[in-house]
Amino acid sequence: MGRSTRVTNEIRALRFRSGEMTQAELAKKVGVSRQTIIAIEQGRYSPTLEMAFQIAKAFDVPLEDVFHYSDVDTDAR
Amino acid sequence: MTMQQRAVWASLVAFIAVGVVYATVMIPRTVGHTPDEISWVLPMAISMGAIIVTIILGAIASAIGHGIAATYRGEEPEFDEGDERDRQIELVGNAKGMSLASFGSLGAIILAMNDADPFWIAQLLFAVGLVGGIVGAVAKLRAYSRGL
Repeated sequence: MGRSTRVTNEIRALRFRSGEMTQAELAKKVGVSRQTIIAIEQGRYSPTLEMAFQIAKAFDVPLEDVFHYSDVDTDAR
Repeated sequence: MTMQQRAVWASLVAFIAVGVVYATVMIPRTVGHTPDEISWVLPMAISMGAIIVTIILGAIASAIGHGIAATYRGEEPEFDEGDERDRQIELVGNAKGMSLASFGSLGAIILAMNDADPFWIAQLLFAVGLVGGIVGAVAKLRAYSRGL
């Protein structure tokens, strides 16, 4: 299992709520590779603040509806 | 796998393959000979050129292979230019490789201070360059698969 970040997200749920948007479609909207979207979804990569805002904008929701910060280290679970 | 990730794989293969071939050629030449009797300049120059050519050809071949495989699967090939994550991984991997290479440079200075033959200084710098390249590539691939 990979190294997880403390930043969790709702991207997968938001994609399905947005007409089952694919990872490739989201990647195109945000301007990153599909692999980067996969890494963010799986918690293997914390996006920059600008990328996080772009992802929230792609779903037309506020940033806090997409990303959450956990006080508990996810690796320790 | 992004284009950048495929290029890192190509560089890892190039560093390992060239390192093995160079060692296979040079080690028998050093046995029972003094440094000034060993012909090393041309093999090292060829090895450095081979690394560059192998990385370029490897990246091109992997991109072509990806395109053919994606088309065969009925998917659209991804030929991205790299994004923030790729750049961060590149920086992290290069920093790890360079930190190792800097120790090699220190070793070369120490050898020069002790009037070592240029043969040994060149071998040390070439070896740490290869190992640094391998360490950097492994660090990048680890970051791609496990996260930064």
